[in-house]
Amino acid sequence: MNKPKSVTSLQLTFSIGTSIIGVGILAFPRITISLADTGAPMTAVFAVLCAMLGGLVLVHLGLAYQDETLFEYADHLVGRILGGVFLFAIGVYFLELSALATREFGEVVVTSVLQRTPIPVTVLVIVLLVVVASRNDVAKFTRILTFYMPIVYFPALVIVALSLKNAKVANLMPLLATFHDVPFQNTVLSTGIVTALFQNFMIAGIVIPFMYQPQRAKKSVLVGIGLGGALYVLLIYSALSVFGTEEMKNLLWPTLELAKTAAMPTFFLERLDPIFLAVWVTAVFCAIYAAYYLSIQAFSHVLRFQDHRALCFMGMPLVFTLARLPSNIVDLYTVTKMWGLIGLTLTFGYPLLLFLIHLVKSRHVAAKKRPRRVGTTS
Amino acid sequence: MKAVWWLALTMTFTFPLLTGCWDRLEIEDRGTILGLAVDPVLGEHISNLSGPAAKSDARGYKLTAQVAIPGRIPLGPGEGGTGSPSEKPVWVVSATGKTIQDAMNGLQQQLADKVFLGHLRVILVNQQLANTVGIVDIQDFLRRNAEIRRLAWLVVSKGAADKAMEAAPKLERVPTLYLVGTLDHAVQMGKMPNLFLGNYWSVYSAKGQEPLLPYVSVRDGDVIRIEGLAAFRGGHMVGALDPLETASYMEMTDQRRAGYGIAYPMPGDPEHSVILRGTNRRSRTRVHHDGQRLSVDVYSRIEVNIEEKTGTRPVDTAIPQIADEASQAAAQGQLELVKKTQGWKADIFGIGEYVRGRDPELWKTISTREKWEEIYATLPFRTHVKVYIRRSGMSAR
Repeated sequence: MNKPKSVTSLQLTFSIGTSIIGVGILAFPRITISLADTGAPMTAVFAVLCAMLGGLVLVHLGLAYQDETLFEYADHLVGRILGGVFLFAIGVYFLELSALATREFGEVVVTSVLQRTPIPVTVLVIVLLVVVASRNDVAKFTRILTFYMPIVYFPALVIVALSLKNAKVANLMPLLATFHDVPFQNTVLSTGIVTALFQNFMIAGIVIPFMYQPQRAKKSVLVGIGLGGALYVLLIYSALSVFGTEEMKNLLWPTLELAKTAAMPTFFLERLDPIFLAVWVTAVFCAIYAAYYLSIQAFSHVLRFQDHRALCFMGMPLVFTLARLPSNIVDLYTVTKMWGLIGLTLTFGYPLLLFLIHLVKSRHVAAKKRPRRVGTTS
Repeated sequence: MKAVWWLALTMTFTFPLLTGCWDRLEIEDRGTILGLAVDPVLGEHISNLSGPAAKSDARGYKLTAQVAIPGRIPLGPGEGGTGSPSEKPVWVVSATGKTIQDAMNGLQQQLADKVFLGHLRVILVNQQLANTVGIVDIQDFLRRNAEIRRLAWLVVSKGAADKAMEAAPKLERVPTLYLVGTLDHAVQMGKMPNLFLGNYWSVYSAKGQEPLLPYVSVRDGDVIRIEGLAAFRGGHMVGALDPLETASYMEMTDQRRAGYGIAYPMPGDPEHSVILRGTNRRSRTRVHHDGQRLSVDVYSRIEVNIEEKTGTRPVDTAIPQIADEASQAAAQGQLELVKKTQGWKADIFGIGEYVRGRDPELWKTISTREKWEEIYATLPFRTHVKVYIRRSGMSAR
């Protein structure tokens, strides 16, 4: 199957960088810090490295099968039936992931901005937006994500810069808490939770075959994850330096509180949090878009659809229903945490499995070839 | 074509739902509260809207709110003159309740418009409340409400807080804004650290530091005066720092902006004095641990200008002596402040946080707030101050 070459390497970088910034940025400082105290920023760094490793595996596979998406070469490697089962799991996983993200988005909006708007309406808006946008092909998908990249990054950086005024270095100390204070399993758990927020890098698997120059995918993926990761690390460092570990545990959405603490000095805008939230919607959209798109692509491949577009609207009631499931905000975060961690086995484990099979197979093929060549020379 | 029809159909059914009119609230219909005062209820009947189960540390709270009257708030310099002065731009309403939210419900019951706290700038808490029941139950309401700004001021008032809501300062038509201005300018002038609500929360949560809040009083119904800082321990106010102690506190905690003019005796002429005003400060805190116990060194450098001198002794030759004397006096002042806070067992300097950050192994053996309070109470401090006199104004002598 030949694919139209339509994605530049820069687009891949920005798409990944945008898609991994999602709803998670509001709550992750609290979740990680309650686990790993001041070691939490360090675990965010570990998580970036983990995600990069996962990305490298995808890139390696993508380069080995340059004209095929993750789903297509998976069929070759593990067979259509097993591939279908895995793919179905991935589809379900990302569908629930986007559902949880829309719910979290709805919760933030209904708590902090639109208090009287019924949450299903808020959720419906974002789901509808995502569904309509997901009817596009891969080229447009990356273009949409690329276009929103500055809008996603800029406000977060402004918030970080403005909140530095209230930062206290003592709050960051001890910097290397991961190495002496924090129990090892907490460090691992915290790393896992942040890594789970990076899972949208999987889009690399479906974008690489559409690239003009797939050989540049490695750099793109690494830089893309690095950009998103840098934002995560920056956010957790500044939130920690402003609030400290103990206060952080009291804040439901520390990043939002950070925006509340940041004030434009001598400017007509006294509060920045409404602006931050308004722009943050874009980031949420991009992340949910990427997850939903992956899920729809996976399902359409399992069901052997020619075109994924037919499925887009069918997924909508599903996402909507799944988003309604968690009964309250505490429940929502428990489910999100668990689901993210479980998903790591899929989003990291599956490509890794494919990679191993690919290695064995290519070794096998090479081993088969070699004796023949030896035979001809003798 | 079919897809287009589908799209059109979904749009007709969903888009009217998405226009977002649920939260539409015209500005005239908002009961915008600019300032809140929290007082204890003494003797009077406590209204209780939220049901008899409502309980908090205090017997009851009396909330006094300053509600902005739409159209009468002067928006800019151009509009300052409109409206006769007799028309007050704010309306003061009060209600009682068993908890803060209970009282807030009572307040809403009296207001036709929906209470809006997005513009709440100051929350005044009566010292009596801060002293006895603490402000734990007060601040939870503020923390939970999404409209409250983290940059609002939480202030302890000496005496009844509701007086400040009714005060009518001459400089500003909106009393709350005057109070906010007073606090903001005190920060700008270096007379007070920037201790806003969010800062209080962060420090209050920290195990190795105790929070401070601005401390004000209302005099003669009109004058709002900054009395210094209120020190807390475990959510209760334990004492107050006067302006001079506030200056010492700021010297010790590396607050660059200096603003206090402090008088020192003129060397060799005890009947007269010089007033020095700080311009710039730096300080460093070092905590030593010699295996047995902790000790603290605070090094500060203060740059000052001579503001006034009494008597006839020319100042130009006396500068080194004045600087020495001022250095010693400032170091002494710092030590006295430390003694005072050690008496309260309130580590307002955040030495505990320093220890937690720099020596996590040692902190593991302390780890609780109570234990740290005990250690802090007997912690030896050494203060080292160097005052640099840079300028002496337009006068040469």
